[in-house]
Amino acid sequence: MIKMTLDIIRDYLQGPENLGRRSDSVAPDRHGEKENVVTGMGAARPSSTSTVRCRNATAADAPALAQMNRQLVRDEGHRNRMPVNELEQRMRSWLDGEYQAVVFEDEQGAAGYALYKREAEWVYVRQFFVQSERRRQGIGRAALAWLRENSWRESAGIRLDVLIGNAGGIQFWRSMGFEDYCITMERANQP
Amino acid sequence: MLRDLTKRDWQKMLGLSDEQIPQALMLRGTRNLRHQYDRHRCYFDDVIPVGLPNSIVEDVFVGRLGEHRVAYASVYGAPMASEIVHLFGVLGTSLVVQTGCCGGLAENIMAGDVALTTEAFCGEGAAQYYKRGGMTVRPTLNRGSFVPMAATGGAAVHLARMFTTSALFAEGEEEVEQWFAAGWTAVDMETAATLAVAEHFGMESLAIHFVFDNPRRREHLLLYEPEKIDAELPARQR
Repeated sequence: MIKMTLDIIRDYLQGPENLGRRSDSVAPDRHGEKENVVTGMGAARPSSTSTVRCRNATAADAPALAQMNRQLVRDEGHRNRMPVNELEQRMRSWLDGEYQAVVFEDEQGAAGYALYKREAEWVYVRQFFVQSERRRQGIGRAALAWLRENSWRESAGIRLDVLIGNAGGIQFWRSMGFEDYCITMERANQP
Repeated sequence: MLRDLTKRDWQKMLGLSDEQIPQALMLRGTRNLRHQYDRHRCYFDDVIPVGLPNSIVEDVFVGRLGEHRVAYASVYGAPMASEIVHLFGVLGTSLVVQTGCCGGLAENIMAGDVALTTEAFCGEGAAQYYKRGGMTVRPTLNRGSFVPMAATGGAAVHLARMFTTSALFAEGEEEVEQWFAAGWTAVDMETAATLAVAEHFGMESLAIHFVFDNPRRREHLLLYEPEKIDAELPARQR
């Protein structure tokens, strides 16, 4: 512990940009800087195998993540009406705070992303998105497997919310072994 | 007033020249102040003990870590931690690292794991005098990738939300469950104060602890110091 702490201090003093860039530096809960490659074996269309690279997002990814966030909002029919610039600002704030994001990429560029945070006993997945033209190629399945094996390895469970009207999303998560737990209920409070 | 002491005042009292002002400060939270002081001293060269005759400052040294000047201080609890960080904040030290042991609250945090604080709750009494509003404080450096994987020896590293308390013996089952229910995943006695003072002085900050028990799991509640040190060793050395 002492040596480890002194190594961190030494890295910082040699240049703050050196922190976490040593060859042996990677978050043991696997959300470090290293890129990792997974192969998306499409469950729906096995012939369309895709090689997906998963990497941790940085602030530089915020504009691209905001664009995909906007598409996610539209695809799932969410009420959020924030324009892209506000979504980008929100994304920066999240990444600067308790959220982390992982980008799924392949030779065609960004195929999707996951945004999540760690809670006491769970990983809470706030956003999980695959570009519409890239769906049903096993990308989401492969990315989820990578996240479970790497970023979320130490967590006891995973929780997320799916809008009632997002039938495709509900089907996907159930096929991934997720079970229904809670229904959010609401009504207008006007006489 | 103590708050009004300047950099030159502290330098004169502590006998530190400009060249001896450390770039970084490492705090170790411990009851065994002198024992930990001696343990850490051997990692440094050209060690200069730092103290004051009236005992306001004790168990502190400035040493050379490679080409850099780094200070070490043994502290126990928020008041002591806040004083040391304040002192070095006035001197212009740019980085503060809080270390020590903590209790795990989340189910998956075990004795021997490493906790890197992402946010701390000011449940102690010192942070409030440095923070304007809010009950939480964050380190400026909190990425899991800062932790050298090889150095952990395979121990799990958790990004932890640290509850800092000042009354260890007042911890009851009810309090521990409340902290956990509120989303706090570990508990210690210095981190919030250290981070709040660091923030006040514009210092970079980081808090990294090893986990020596989990009150909610009733593990290792009364470890002796040698057992804590053993738990601190990388897993492969245990």
